[in-house]
Amino acid sequence: MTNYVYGVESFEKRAEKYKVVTHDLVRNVDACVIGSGAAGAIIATKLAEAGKSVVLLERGGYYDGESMNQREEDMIPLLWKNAAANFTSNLRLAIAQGSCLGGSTVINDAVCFRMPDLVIEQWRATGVSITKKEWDQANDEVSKRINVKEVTEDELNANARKLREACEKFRIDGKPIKHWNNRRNCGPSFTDPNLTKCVKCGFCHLGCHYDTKQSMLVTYIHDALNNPAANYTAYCNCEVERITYEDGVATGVDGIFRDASGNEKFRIRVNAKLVVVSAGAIASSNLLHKSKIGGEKVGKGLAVHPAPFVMGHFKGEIRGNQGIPMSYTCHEFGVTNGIKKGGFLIESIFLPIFQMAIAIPTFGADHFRMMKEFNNYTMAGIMVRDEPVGEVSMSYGGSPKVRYELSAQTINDMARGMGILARMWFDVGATSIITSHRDVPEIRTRADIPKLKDAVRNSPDGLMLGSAHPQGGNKMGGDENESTVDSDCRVFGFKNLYVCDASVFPTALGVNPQLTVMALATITANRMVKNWNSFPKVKESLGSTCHISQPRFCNAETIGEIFAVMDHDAKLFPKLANSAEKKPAIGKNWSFDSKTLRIYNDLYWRGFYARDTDALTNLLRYFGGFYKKFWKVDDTTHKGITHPFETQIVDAKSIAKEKEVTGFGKVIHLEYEDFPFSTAYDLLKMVDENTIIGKAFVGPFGKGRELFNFSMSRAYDVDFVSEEDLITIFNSNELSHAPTAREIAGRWEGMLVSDSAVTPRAQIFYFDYEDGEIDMRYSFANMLHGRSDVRITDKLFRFDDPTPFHDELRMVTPDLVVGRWVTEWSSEDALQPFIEDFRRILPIPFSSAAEPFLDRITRTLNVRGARLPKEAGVSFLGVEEDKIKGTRIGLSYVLKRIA
Amino acid sequence: MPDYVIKGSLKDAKGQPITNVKVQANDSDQQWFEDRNDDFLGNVWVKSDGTFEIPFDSKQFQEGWLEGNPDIYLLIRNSSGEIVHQTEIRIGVKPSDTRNLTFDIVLDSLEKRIEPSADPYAQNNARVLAAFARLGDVFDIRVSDTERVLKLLTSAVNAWSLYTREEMWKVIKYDGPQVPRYPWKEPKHSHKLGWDRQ
Repeated sequence: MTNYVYGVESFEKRAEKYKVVTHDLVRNVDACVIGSGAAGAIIATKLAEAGKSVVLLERGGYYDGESMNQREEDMIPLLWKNAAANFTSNLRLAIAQGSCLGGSTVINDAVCFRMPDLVIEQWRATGVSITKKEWDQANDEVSKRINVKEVTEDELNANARKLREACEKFRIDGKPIKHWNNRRNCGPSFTDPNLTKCVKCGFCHLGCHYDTKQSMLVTYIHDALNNPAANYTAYCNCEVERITYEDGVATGVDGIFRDASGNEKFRIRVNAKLVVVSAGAIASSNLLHKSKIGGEKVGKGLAVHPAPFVMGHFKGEIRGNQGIPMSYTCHEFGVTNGIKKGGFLIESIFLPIFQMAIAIPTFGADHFRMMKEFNNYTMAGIMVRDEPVGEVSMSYGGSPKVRYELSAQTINDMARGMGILARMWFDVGATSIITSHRDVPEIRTRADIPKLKDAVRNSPDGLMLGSAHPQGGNKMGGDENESTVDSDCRVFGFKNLYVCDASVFPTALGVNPQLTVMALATITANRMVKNWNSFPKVKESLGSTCHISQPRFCNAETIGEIFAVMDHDAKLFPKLANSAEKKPAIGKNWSFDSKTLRIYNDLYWRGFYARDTDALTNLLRYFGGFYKKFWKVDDTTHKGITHPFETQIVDAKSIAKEKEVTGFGKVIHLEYEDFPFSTAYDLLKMVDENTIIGKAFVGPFGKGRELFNFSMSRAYDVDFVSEEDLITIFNSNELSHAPTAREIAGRWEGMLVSDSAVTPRAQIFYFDYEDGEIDMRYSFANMLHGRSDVRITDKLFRFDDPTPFHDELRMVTPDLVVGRWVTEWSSEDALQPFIEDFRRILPIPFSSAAEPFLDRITRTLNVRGARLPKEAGVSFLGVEEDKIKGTRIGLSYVLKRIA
Repeated sequence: MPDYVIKGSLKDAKGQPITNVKVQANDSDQQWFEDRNDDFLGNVWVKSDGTFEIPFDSKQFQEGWLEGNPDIYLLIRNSSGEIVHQTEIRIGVKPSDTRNLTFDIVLDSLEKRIEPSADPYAQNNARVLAAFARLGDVFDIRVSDTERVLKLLTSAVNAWSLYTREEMWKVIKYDGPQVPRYPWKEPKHSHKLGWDRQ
């Protein structure tokens, strides 16, 4: 299992050992590292080299050099996060990040700047206790391993040489400015021995076909995968859903393998001594948000290095796309020249044709005219050291939502930089300038440069802005109240949870950050190894993965596979019988453990459909739920009923007997007694006394056609709570209480509860508590927003909205609330005649529970209001009955605390 | 006495017996029924020496006068129940036909086989659609400038529809990609750049 790359995509050929994930996985390891970019890859490899077993989880896929074909339409969806549709929430700023094995190091321009001394000092002043010596040592170690070398003269392309020429000519008050060649991480290809240095194809943004760019993919990850002494596995196409923890100890992570459309394929549970989040700025904050870690300070303080561009048009061909795009930098105005606040670097860059077509801010004939001159442009970007004013929050659907507004200082720096670069291009013979501002897309004389600067200052929204360096959000520092992680990158309040990537930067770096991220990862990994004995033991858990002991988490195919090889445990057959009671009796036939959040329900066997997300299974899950209840006749026979929740007056009577069935071995054969159910049968296998897996067939016994696979259980998690379970918890003073305003304060996600299943997030409730008052806001399906009036009594937390319904809440644990959206109680009866009509049309057997209300039908002559008998409650819409109060209808839901 | 007995063995590539796998024998009805509702003939765990025997009777597969003899094939499942191998279908096997009732199988892996995709880029449309769905989740119309958003979308559509096409590259004189579209299918492709060759 180890030293492979795993993913859900299958390929003819890959450079590393690769396997396709075919089922859910559970791994117990020393370290789980989330993210395979500049930080995660280094930490994972260094821990593996220190003898630790490591699992590396990556959201993107694994693509080797041979699959990187230099075509934007093929590579951007494959390698770039969100297929490059990765924007701030107002679509003002495009943020380029890698989403593949190796992360952004696969698609960046291989520029390596050491962390400026000035920034080291600024960070130390904010409480980061990493010395210059430690940074230097780490930089040396990384630089050697990824072969960081200064760009040679022959590696400067025409675009870079033009920028150098412009820098050489440029004077401020008669003085020359600072500029020099970049350092880059390129070197020998491990797949083509003839290639010992950069090929200079110019397609760095689309992955390096030649494997000469020394990204994490071909260095640290490659080394670990091919180290026979290492215990190292990389799982791709795997999105981490949450980090689990107890009392300041991270216990592991739950991940989902997704296909190209984002649909769930399989799940993974990793139990680890050490959990490291290196998902990159933005994604790391999002994961902490989803895991409810770090509180309100998480996500705040995001900087992005916004980078407008300026192009020069020349009479002769430049062919800027030929050769290394980023090989030369003007340092005069940036942090590398001692500028303490703000400032910018002017960096050579050139875009492939599709990206260039998006970047040029014109339309129609003008756009085509400019694109036709593609070979005659020079290009450079103004990379601004911005203030950390951005914020990452969580969208309704759980995605990272980035808010970022340019500060006055940043706008001014961009205006200055664009003005300077325009002057530079004119200095070296440009005939016109193309800018990234929509209002001034082209200027033809030096005299128009102030117009460009004014446009930037007065209308910064007109700029086409990109960023490739998101930083911050989980600030590192010494103060727990202001910072998310300490100087070891350990999350405050946790023994074994780390965040290590650009998200911990307290300020923008001012230079391309990959080398600093790698150096920080090196320092962090060294400190982890040094402190290894302080980490707790692995606590094993199956999480929500498919396993024979919890088949409710399995997809249909896997239930079928388990059924094919699992033996039915005949000793358990006598225990098939359920409680004879018809109502939940707490402690007798029904219980709820508020610590484990598990429900034991012996009223019946709750049926569970497979976890597949196709339309039919979803429909069945929410509207076709069922249970089976058994009574013992003798040691060889049970009588039972199968009862669909949805049609609550239907009982399908059955007889259960153990039999040998060809192809399945010993099973429980469930034979239905009455037509039309007798045309079908079920085969069941008991896994343990609370778990059954089954197959439903239609047709003659032994020759029937398989309909679907399912499972049943008497013990399940609160995530599978039924409406009856919820009302039992709601009505019990031992299991729930009316929360106080202080207790409920926070943000909660709500999931609707049908008879048989719980939906994904359906609403968010916000309870803001201030000065003794509580302000309640709701957002339903991210479309219906509003406020409610809150009333708190000893028994109930109630809030009213403009409908005839109101909400009632009861708190189960500090992070779990059960709620009902209900009408007022009423003693009116109605709709029974409709049930009687239904019964006449379709004569099907009725359960004994239905008889009392059928009697009432004969007495009910008038329909008076929209009251429903309990038995006619539909999937989500429940009807509650009380002997004194009457009936009421409503929806049930579970609330889980988000923040 | 059963009418038929399937016998066989399972070995790995080195000739060592494979154990802890389950062999399922089926009668294929695909020539009669399109939906492949095949008959089960038997299901056994392989013995410790890698051999197995599956006895069965005619009544287990005979649907009527149509089927005289079974069309046998085997499914091999690993301990998780995953199908790791399926044999060829042997048509109309008679009870005395010991050659066709014997299956000696060599397996190089006990992992579920997934047919490789010839085109890793084939799912890119799905990736782009999924990306836009996520973008829709984070997009905040209340703080957005509608005109700018429309311009951005127009730029993206224009760039995608025009400038990812090789015909347009020729118009622009963009020398573009230096390797074949499916490089691994042409292992001898050149790693020399066009402009260097010139």
